[in-house]
Amino acid sequence: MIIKKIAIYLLVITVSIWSLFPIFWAFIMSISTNVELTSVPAHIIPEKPTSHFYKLIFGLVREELSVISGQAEFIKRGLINSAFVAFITCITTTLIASLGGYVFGRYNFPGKTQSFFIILMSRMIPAISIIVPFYYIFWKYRLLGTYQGLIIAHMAALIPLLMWVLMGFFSTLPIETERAARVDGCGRLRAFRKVMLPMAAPGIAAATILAFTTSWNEFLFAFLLTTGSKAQTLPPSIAGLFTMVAQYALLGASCTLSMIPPIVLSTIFERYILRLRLVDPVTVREFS
Amino acid sequence: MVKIFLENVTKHFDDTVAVDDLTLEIRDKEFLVLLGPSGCGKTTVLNLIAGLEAPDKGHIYFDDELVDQLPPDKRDVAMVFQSYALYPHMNAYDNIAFPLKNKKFPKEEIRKRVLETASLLGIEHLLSRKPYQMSGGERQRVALARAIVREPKAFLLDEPLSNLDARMRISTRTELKKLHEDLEITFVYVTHDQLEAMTMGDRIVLMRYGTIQQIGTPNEVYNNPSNLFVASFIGSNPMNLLECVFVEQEGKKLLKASSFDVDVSSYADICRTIEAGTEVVLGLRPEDLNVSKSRTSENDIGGTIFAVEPLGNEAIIDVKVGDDIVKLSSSDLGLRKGERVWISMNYRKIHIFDKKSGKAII
Repeated sequence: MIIKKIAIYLLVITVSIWSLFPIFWAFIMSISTNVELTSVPAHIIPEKPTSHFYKLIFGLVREELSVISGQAEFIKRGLINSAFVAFITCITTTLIASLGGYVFGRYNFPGKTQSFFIILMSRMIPAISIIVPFYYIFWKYRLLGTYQGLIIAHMAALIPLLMWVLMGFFSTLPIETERAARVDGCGRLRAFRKVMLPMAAPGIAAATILAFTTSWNEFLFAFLLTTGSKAQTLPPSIAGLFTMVAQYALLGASCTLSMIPPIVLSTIFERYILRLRLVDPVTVREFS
Repeated sequence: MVKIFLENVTKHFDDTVAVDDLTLEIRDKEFLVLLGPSGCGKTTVLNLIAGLEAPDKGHIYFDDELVDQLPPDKRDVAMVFQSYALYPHMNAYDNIAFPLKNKKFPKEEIRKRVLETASLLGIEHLLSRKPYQMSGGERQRVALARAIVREPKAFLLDEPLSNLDARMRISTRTELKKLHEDLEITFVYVTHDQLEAMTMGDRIVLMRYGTIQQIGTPNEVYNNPSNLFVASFIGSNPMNLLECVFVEQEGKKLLKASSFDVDVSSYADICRTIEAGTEVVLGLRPEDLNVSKSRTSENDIGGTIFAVEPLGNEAIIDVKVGDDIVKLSSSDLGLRKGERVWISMNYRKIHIFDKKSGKAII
């Protein structure tokens, strides 16, 4: 029994170290100086921790070397763009996906299965395989390098996923409550807004987080559609640091900053996100 | 305050017929009970009236207005659901006020009406509570209050008592009946409990497989069931149904069962209506049978007591007659299992059904 327990703990610890070490290393890099990072033998914990590179990104200090300041400026811009794109994407996506998910979860209409299959199919195709037509269409409609272009691309990828998740959530809500609202004098839209939406709040909260973090982390479309433009988001900006003069500490600070919003959001909304996956009539009742 | 008329209404769900060519008139201010086993289509009828389902065929009228195309929010009917379907994110006050808010009543009027309704149902102390902070009975009252607060044209109730405990059910039954008298609104009440139907309804509609089996007052459906289904469904203790053949033998007219004969020669009604050789089902209500330890007439049926279920003031006795079990109620509490007894029946109260069609002959 004890051996089994020890084995389980060992396994958990190994997996945790395995997955947390890169995060830890990025953080260590961010608080070290470049000199320390290249010293031999390497230090796991820096002797003189510094917040210099964070300050640099937020423009609180300046470096004499304009290249480094330029890079930091570049990351700051990426942070702002990412926040803007992810915010708009998660709002619009959740709005559309909750309406769509509600309809697919609740109503029967001719062609329901087929149309839902088509929507979901867009999720099954690897993104890389449609990137060329995407690029061409965006070029044609002058959407390359624009915020709206990237937002549209993210919405196209996220709406099917969120609709699928929310459809499952809506279909678990008691139908009688919605019917009660209809009999009590609500039209379809009002019943949705006044009764179904508040009841689906945990699911919608979780879906919003999912949309935000996915858009925040998204690399491929951001890289191809916004690189080098004023709309470039954080992931391609970080990737860009590799191609410039290697600034490992700045890279570490950028990576650490990019991880903060998803970690904070998922910690705050953890119980909602868990509920989204484990939803059943019991939890709905618990919520009610 | 509306007369509801369903004309040849049919409703399918995929391959199953929930309501099959049903025509029904619900009178103004009537307490009509839709009664039947689960899956008989009674709730679908209620949903059709509320507009939550649209009929595949047929029409629905409120008074003389065709309402087929009218959405639920425009029909001005109120509904109480089996699960109460309270809005979980609103407290009792907001739940009750919700229909009035939808109708854009002024705030003061809403407040006045909610408080009035709450005091009518004795739930003033619950108004600030959320549904999950209430017991089943309290939720049920809030659901009732939400339905009556706006004085609807008709009041639809879908098994509103089925989630209450037995004692609560009896007291709420009386209250609902009184509420109907006070409000003077058309009530349509769905239940699978024949006791609720008998005690509350002005008229009972018995349904099975989406069709109406019988419509009548509680007395009519109890005393003159139109077929075997109605006979077996109505009555606290189900009717005894015994298969017999009607035969003429040595100048006598007999109902011949596997293990006993009943001489019906002297009952002209029976002899006139049934042809010799017809296979019939004899229906005997437990309360119309008497049991005694000695034989009092030629026609008494002999049997052995198989089980005794005491109920306090009386007992349900299961008597084994040949291969059949006959249930009857008796106030003689001294009867014991295994005793030899004789069953006598009141011929005015026996029911005879055609075995093939199930329809009542007498």
